[in-house]
Amino acid sequence: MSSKDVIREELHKEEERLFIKEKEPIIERASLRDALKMLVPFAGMAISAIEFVSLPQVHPLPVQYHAETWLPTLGVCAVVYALFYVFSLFVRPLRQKVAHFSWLIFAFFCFFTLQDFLTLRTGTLKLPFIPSPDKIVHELIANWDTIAMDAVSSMTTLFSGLVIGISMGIVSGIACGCVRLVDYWINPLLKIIGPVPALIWMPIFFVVFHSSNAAALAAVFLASWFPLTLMISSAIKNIDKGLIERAETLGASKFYIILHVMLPNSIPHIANALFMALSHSFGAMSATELCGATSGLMFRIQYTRVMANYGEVFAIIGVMIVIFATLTAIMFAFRNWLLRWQKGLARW
Amino acid sequence: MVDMDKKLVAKGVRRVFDDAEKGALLALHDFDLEAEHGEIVALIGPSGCGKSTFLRLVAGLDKAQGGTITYGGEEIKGPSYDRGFVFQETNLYPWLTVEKNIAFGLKARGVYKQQKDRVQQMIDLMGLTGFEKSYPHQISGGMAARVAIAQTFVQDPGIILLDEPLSALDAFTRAIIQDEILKMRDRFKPIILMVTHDIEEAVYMADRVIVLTPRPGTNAGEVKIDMPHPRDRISPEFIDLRHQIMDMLEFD
Ligand SMILES: Nc1ncnc2c1ncn2[C@@H]1O[C@H](COP(=O)(O)OP(=O)(O)OP(=O)(O)O)[C@@H](O)[C@H]1O
Ligand SMILES: [Mg+2]
Repeated sequence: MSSKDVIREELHKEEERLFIKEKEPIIERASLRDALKMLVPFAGMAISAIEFVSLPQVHPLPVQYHAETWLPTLGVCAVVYALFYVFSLFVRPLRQKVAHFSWLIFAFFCFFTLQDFLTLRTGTLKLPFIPSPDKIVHELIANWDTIAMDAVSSMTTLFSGLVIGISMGIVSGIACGCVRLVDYWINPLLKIIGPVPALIWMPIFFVVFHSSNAAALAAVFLASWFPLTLMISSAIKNIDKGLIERAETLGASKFYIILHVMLPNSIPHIANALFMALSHSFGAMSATELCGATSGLMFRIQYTRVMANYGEVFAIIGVMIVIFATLTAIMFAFRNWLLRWQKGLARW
Repeated sequence: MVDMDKKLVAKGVRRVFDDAEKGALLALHDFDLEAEHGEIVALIGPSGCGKSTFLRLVAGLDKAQGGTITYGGEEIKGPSYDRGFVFQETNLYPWLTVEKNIAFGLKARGVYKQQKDRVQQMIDLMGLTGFEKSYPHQISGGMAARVAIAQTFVQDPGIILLDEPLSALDAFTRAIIQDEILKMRDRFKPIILMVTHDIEEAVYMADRVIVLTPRPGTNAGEVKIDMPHPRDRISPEFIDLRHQIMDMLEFD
């Protein structure tokens, strides 16, 4: 066998290994089993609807409560899911997702059925402190404009804090990793201030910044700046020296090495730091809004709780869950994209 | 373009490592070497005798405590793209594709735009066609070694330092890449210093084989190999040279 043949054979093997997975079609009709499995969420909605119309309410309140938003809500859910169902019958990747989640969606509606049963139907959970799903949706619709304004206010604080914190974290992380003098002064700061929850500085922030919004911004900044600086500087300090020496013998300048070797090499750590930054800043932001802010979702929760509008409290909690979960999902999608070159990456 | 008259000259090179526990460790001692363009010089010696240390000194990654190393009459002060290094461990940049790994040096020096064609040429020359967009974890060890070699050769350096770049590969792949390196030598005519543990590899590729003593490493002898390429690995002359080197390596 000549050397050319060996190469060709090796190439061929390699090629097969690389491209073997690509052949699955996107448009493909569903099997009967999948089609049936994807019907399960409809059953969940049906159970909820039947429970809702067939059982009588208990009336712990002086005024009888007219539960009238839950059935339309179920209707909207059914229509939206029906759209997904129809597309899933033909689009393969979508179907894999929908089929995977079908029992979870079913359980989701069962949960609300149970909640309705324990509140509006039996009073086991004390009304009005724990409202029924109907009441929560009702309050969400009735107050959507204030809730949306508060959400915008919270998100503005969160994003500005994150953008400033993350970009400064990258800069100071690199500086700490590369310049001894900077490391000498910043490192103790990291060690002392870093582990302390941003919340502790709140009283000082309020005094120093005179405004609760600025204090919230400072808290988010601190919560995101710390993990990025720490992770990037430690990634740079612990880099495999061979990667740098290789760049030096290839003619790279110090500056080029920082940007094109040290920084990409710390991307896995940056990704983890981003996750920490995000979850810590949710906490920091919520906490600041709780003590003394005049807008924001957490402020609104506090406010409506004092007004004893528990339906709205739960509605806002629901909105916060949706927002935070979405942001986290986006962050992980970004992380997976950043780390597309990594072998055997643990997907989240 | 490389100036073909430049010579690499090392005289009385000495390198001592300071070890906190064991005290000073003399790794390399009074070592001489001379090499010209178009020549492949193999360094062979027992493990730990300072072969990698010497290559690092030539690359400018490390400083000698005694002696001089000059290239074209100029003392070596620090790393330069003109002295390319293929390391013992093929550590490619995992976040760059094969193509971008090879282009790394050209981009770092800001000459990528003018010399773009060289990258594709090198990819074709090293049998990497079709893998331009693959990441290092997606290719085999043999391919990674090829990429590492291409990464250095694409810069057309005056000196190329090969530190056992093929030691982790199977015999088949190794034979193929040996031929590829010879092909590149004919094309670019650099000075190639090659460290290897494989006597057969040394005799197959090198024009001269320099044998080092156990630590502290110094010149134990030199064997000239005056056979035309392609060399026949089972010819009596070849086998005789192997024995000659093997005998020189028997220290006690
Ligand atoms: N950075 C260092 N600090 C301390 N000692 C070192 C260092 N680098 C190398 N040495 C020592 O110097 C000696 C020579 O090392 P070197 O890596 O040059 O050997 P080598 O000939 O390349 O061996 P091998 O064939 O196993 O690769 C060894 O004893 C090693 O322990
Ligand atoms: Mg070595």
